[in-house]
Amino acid sequence: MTAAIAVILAAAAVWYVLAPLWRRIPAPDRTASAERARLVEQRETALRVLRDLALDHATGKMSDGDYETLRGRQEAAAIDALRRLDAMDASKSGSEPAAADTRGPE
Amino acid sequence: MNPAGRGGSAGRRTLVFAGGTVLIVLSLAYLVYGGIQQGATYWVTVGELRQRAHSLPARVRLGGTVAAGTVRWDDAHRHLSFVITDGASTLPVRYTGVVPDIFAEGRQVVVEGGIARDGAFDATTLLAKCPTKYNPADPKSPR
Amino acid sequence: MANVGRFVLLGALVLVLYAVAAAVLGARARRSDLVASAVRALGGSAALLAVAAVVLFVALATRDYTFQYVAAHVDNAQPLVYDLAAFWGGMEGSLLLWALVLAGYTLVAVRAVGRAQPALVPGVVVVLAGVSAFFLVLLTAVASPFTTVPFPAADGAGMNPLLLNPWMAIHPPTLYLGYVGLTVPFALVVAALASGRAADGGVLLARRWMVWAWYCLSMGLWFGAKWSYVVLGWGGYWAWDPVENAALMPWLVATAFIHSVMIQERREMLSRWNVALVILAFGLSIFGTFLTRSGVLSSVHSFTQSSIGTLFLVFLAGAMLAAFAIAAWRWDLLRSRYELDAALSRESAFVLNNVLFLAIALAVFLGTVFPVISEVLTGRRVNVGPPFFDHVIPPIAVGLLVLMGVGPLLAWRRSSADHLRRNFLAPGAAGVALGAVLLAAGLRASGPLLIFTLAGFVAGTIVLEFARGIRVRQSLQGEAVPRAFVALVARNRRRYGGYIVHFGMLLLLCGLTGSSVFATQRLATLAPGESAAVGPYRVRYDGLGQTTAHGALVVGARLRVFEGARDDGPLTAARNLYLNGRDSTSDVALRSTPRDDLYITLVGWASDGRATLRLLVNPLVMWMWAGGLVLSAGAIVAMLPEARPGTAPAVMPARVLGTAGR
Repeated sequence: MTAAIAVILAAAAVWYVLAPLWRRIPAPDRTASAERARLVEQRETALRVLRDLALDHATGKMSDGDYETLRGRQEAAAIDALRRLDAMDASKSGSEPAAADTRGPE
Repeated sequence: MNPAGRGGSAGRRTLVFAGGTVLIVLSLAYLVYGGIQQGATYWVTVGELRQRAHSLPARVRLGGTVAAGTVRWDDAHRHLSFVITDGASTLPVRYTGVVPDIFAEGRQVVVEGGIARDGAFDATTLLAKCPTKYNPADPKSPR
Repeated sequence: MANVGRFVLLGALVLVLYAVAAAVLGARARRSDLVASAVRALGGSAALLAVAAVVLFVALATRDYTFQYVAAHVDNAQPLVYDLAAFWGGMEGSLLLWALVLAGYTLVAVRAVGRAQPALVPGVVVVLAGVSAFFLVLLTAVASPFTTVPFPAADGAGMNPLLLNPWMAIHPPTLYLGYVGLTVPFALVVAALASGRAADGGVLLARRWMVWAWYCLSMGLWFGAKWSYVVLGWGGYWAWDPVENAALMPWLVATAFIHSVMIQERREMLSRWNVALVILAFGLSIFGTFLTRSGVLSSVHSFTQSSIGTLFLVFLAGAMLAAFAIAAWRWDLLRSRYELDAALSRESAFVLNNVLFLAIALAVFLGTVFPVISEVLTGRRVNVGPPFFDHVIPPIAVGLLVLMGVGPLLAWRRSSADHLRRNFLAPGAAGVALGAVLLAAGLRASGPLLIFTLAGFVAGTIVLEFARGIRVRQSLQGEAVPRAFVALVARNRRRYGGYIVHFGMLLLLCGLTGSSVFATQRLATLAPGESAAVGPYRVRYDGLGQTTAHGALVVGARLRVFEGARDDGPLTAARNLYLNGRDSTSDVALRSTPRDDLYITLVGWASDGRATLRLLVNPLVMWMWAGGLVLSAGAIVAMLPEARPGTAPAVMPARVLGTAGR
């Protein structure tokens, strides 16, 4: 009884785990979707920080000059992400993206 | 943003941060030193305490097992006496206060206190340890 | 049954080892099919662990005493729910729970990483599978919950009655959810560093997991304190016991991280520091398990180290060495993009906050392992105990309290004197006013006076923060106050959830201070009809009663509480004597009010009907429990997903929105 369960479990596990190797399906190239996810993340973070900064500024916790400086950086990051995302969408519908090298601003 | 004052302020900034770090580290060291002075209790075995009680600090932490058949209570369960043993030597212990629930004969206990004139151990703290089970907190006795 | 358990654990071990190998090979050869297979192996091992857990649960529920583990932690008398709680009542079961929780987290984490940053998947798989492998080796080779005996006993040994309590049933699993949750940030950070591509060191991805782990640790600590207070009958909730400290240390480091990660998000600074905190928090979670399990500190005899303790230490050392080596290898990648601008700024307040949290963690660590350090250095075990912690930690905690008020009001980058005056006037006045009221009411102890004054100040800053936010929304949106309040919190969950957590911490600190400084107690032996006075109360003892329940003889002292002329009603302080003749537990007579707790235990009784009672008055304890609830609420607000920024045009700069619409 126990031995039978063991064999069945083992066989099922082996089949399940090794299936991707046998089928040899080339996994979908996920670099594009990954890049997209990263850009979305960058956009969301930048927008959230911008909102935070605006609140800090509005509640008088930041000088105008500092606010401009910090906001400038985050806006640049947000705009960069938005541009690249736009370019991705554009390239999906045929044309070549303007920024093919999709590395973040590091 | 004041570019003109930057060079000088950068130097001062570094100084402030370095000074702050040194200050924090020193105060922490001072606090820890003071804490050790206040809280340090030597950990001894029954045998050690029997052999050289005079050369040890007045207040020690003593670990051992409650010897079977030695636990005595007064009538209202206020005062407790028992014999603690490390397997080889034994020592009578007196204690007044709240006894942890899992205190029992044969269990491991830790007592804190000192040797009285009559050679018995006057404990001010009694901790009992549950030997086998998951025991997240040493059962407590009041500080 | 036991064979099935043993077999599935072995199978799970084989699968995680395969996952490590396949992920490494797949990453090297850039073969995504191998990585996919590794991920599947993790799924398989999770399924097998679930089977193992079911086997153990069934064995516990059916009281199958052929299992050594069941015989050691279950008996015929205890209620079924505690049979099931015995799953984490012993070492082997706890290890299985750990492995199971880790397997569950692994599945979620791998999916999430696969969506966000697929490049990190192989690394995350390797680390998580490696940690799983360690626990599975323990479970299969050293501490198997499925060890059987040929001739089962008719009844088990049962759990210690002290553990038969609802708080105790949920305290360990909650704590484990937190401990194990620290593994995922660790895996993310190590994978990001190893991949060499994530400039943030994976820290931002790790943040969410860290907050979750922090939340679980907080709740675990809170449940543990509650258990200690309600069940152990010694009148306190925290004893600086090594096992408690073991959970406190990672909590402190996680708290530091949650603060400093904000700097990294906003200013791209401190990434090295944050990476170190993540690694350290994981190390402390393993160290905590080591402390709990090895008995190295709680043991009465010195160094009765079990083999499992050694294994934990070796694993801990290996993991820390490897992680810090990888961090050192990628040190340059983690450069800060900006520097601190001024000593008086929000950023430096955060840095100081981190330093203080780590200072407390270090002090707790030193105090906890002091017996071992002193034994290694001087050959003699020296204990430092509660006096050490009471001396070292309050000053640092006061520093943190000050920062909790000052930090949120400081400007980013730099603050001016004028700014400070404007911001600190009202909250400062609130604190001073509270202090003055307390002084007038007769509070003379300087420490508590300082803490309460500061608490008033911090509460003032929190109220000010909310008021300002509401005013901004009112002026921008024209919303009414309640609506503006809800919208403000909903749109800035992390910030205002954080403030709510701060408020909970204030309540908690006030409760801690009140109950540890102003507690009074006395021991009284009373004949029936006699009374004893304690604090504002007079307690009359009306005689003993006897019943039986759950295999125990319950001896109860009937009490009646009076406050001046007012009758506060009856209470019963009981002691349960278990039929095995050894164990006994207290049923504390507890009367809680916001002002204080009256806490009475029955210490003993004599044949003539006299009873010895221990009477305590613990002020403000209820504030502590309330603080825990507020903290929990704030944490939940902060953890809920934020409203998408794109849908919040209120404070969104038009420039960005313009670009988005392009």
